[in-house]
Amino acid sequence: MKKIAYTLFIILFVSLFSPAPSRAEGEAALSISVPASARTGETFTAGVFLDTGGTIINSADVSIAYPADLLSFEGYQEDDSLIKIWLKNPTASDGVISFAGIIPGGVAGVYDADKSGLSQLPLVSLLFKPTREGQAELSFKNSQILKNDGEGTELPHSEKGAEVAIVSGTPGQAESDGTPPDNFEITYLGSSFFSRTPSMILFYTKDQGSGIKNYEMRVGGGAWIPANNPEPVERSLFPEYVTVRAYDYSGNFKDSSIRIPGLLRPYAILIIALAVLSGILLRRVLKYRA
Amino acid sequence: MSLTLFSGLHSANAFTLIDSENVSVSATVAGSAAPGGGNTISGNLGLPSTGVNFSGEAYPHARVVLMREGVQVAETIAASDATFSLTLPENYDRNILYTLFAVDTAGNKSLLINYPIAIHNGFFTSVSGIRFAPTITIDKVEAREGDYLTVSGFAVPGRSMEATVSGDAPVTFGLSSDPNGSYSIHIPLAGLPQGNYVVYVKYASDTRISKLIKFIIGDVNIYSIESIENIPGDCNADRIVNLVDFSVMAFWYGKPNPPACVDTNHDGKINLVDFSVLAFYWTG
Repeated sequence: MKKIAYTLFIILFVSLFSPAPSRAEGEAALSISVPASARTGETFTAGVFLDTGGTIINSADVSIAYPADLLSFEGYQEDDSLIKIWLKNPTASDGVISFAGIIPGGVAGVYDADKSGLSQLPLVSLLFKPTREGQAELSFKNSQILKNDGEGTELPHSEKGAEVAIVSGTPGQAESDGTPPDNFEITYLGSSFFSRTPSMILFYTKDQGSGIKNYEMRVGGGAWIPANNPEPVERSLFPEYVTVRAYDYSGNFKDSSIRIPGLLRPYAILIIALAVLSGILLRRVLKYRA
Repeated sequence: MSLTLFSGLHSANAFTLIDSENVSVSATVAGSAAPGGGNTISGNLGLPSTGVNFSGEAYPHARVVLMREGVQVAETIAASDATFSLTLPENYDRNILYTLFAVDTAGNKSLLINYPIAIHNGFFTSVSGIRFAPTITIDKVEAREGDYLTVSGFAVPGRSMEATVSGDAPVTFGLSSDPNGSYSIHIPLAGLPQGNYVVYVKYASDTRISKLIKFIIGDVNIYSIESIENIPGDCNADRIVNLVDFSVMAFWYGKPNPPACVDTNHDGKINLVDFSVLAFYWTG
């Protein structure tokens, strides 16, 4: 009897003096939302969400592992995403999709009058096409969430992956994205003489259907080469055009061009041209007199 | 934060959510919602059938700017008591990112405040109780050991505030804004050793803080020049933190030996922390 009373006392003591559960930073959680099942050949969406636990955050760097033998990564949609500026747009490599971006000013959650609290932040919607039947597991490999506190303090958080059952589908039902990326402009950022940062071109666009996969560029009529935003450019003596091509995950593309100023200013070119013409004229005059 | 949804025109069905910043969000059926939505103006209430309103406190006579998905869509001048209100007709969308900032009468800009809001067709959404953190400037970029640092700026008139000097052991001082909304405090630096410090202000009851201003306690006084604010990440020193600064930082992302101006925490590398600091100071 004494033992039971002692045990009850310990339980009461622990329950009275244990810290009460509260909505703290530790409750922040990353999660993936998928349908319970998906059919082979039919694209499904995996939404990546962040519950900040009420803390204002402004940046995220996330890697998600997926079974590349069961799923093909088809791109992403960012219409609902609160990541407004991508540092790395979602790209897949060796069964891992990674992305990083910032939210200037920071956010704590979505304000929805139809919900009983701050809703989770949609980070991105990933598009997958199942290639064969099986149980596909999506899990977080790495993730870093930083607070909007001016110091980049890390927000502790939990991670919860998801599973989707892949069942046999009817072939030939898949819809393809035939829409190219949005129109975009290129901005030239000249470097100052003393700066260690070179002259660069800046570009960014979106694609409604499957997301931007990569960029290429070419100078004048040269060959296309891979490009990243921002991309350093070397200025030549004379102005030249640089074209940037944005590809989406379905292979559609959109081009944009910009004229990069040459190292020689227009008036310098004019002076040189006048000097050359004067030289030719003088030579002819001298030749004529002789 | 408070959040309320009325499911019918005069419905009493409502639920409320309150967050740490006491910002209230409510969605009510508009006076004469047009079928299918749109931006028609209600004859009864003078409100858009679907729309959103932002109200709260900035600084007396401050310019308050509202952006929708990064594009400026409205602005107003706050009243002498610092209150403001901005209304925007809207169409249905799942969520829209609204951003507000305020510029005090001295030209100092607040930090950005974001509200991602789910807009519902036929409902008028009100976001009230917004309060910008005070603006802040300091008189010295380097203060002599044992001297004073003057911190000043604008706030809501007559409010209790706190100024904090954060170092190894943070020191907090109480102060109040005057009836015109301006404030100034001479912070004694006696007892604080030489080194790098950060000062910020906030309302006594708020969690949202002002910009963090860095200064040094050293051997001499070096006074601040208006054109040089030493904003982290602002490499071209134009007092604007935007895509240009982001791009310069992005160029150095992961590269060795970055310039000091992009390495916001001076750890010799550019990683997500530097981008987070840039996002905090973002002005757009």
